[in-house]
Amino acid sequence: MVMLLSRISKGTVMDQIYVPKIRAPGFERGVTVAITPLQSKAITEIYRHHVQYLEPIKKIIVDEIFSYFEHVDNVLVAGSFLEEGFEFEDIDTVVLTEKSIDNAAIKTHFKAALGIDIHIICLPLKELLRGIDSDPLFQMLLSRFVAKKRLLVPKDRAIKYKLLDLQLLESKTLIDGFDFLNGREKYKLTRNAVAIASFLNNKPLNASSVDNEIEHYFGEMSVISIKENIIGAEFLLKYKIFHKKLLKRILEGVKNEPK
Amino acid sequence: MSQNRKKLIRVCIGNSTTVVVHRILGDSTEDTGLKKYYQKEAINALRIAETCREKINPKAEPLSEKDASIVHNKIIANVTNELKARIARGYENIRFEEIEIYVAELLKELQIL
Repeated sequence: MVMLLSRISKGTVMDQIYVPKIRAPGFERGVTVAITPLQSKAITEIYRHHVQYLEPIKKIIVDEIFSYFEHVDNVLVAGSFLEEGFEFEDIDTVVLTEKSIDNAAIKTHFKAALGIDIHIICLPLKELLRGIDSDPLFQMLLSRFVAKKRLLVPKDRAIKYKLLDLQLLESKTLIDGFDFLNGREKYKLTRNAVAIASFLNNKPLNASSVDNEIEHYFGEMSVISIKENIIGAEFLLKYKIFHKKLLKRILEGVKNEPK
Repeated sequence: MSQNRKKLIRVCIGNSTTVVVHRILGDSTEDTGLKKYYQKEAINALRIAETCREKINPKAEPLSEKDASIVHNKIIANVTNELKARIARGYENIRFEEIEIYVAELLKELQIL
């Protein structure tokens, strides 16, 4: 059943509910509708970090996720789910707790309840705060999120070259497996490699800044081209050069790192 | 060997190299930071190596001794080069004699050996 969500707002003679001009079928002018309060657990206040707008249906999903994790220190939803529209593959959810959780059971629950794949990252809060300064990919993930409770994420950077080497190694797959990856996978690997470079160059680590850097390295419209998988040998050559230079820089860093 | 089969084997070798290097470096590094918490299943390289392997005949049993030997030796050589470059730059706790163990383990997973 289609639902419209809104609040009752104060009027002069009568109170009113505003609804969007463009509405689903069944909500034409003149149609009689029932107004009923939502259950009190819905649309609870959430903490937002660089998230200006979240579609109402996504707020309901977030609320479902937060309600599930009642007894943890905090839970965050991040990643492409927060971008406008519905082009996400899964929902990146960070659960901050000392306890261990059953990942498989949780995935099954949300697949059944919401029809959505959920990717859980579970770790203690103190581990997150200890390790995030040396992890560009995690910093990028948490550049914007919604959380059950307020969370201040440190923005410091500590360069650990061996960790960066491990992370960059995964992006080598774009070279070796170019013909076997789809556009989304190619974009992710490119984005991760460029995020590592941005981390080293002390540049901002958020989705739009990294996308700008991708366009800087690989040309205008390259983000769309990569996602649509309409890139070819020219891009691959540029990427090989980029990857080689970055790897060289990281390995030099390993060499000069204090033991 | 057909051109397509050669290409599949080449891609399989390249990605298998990445998997082995990743495993060796991961095991030799004491502090892997937050990576241990968010590794999304197997890394992409392993998935691609498996995808390629599924397209190489024979599919349900190990490759011929000749093909398996070619794959095995190439991966060992590639991994050795990757690790030498890193050892020259200060990596420690990497033992070359263990490369064979990691490679053999992966080739069994991929049903190449």
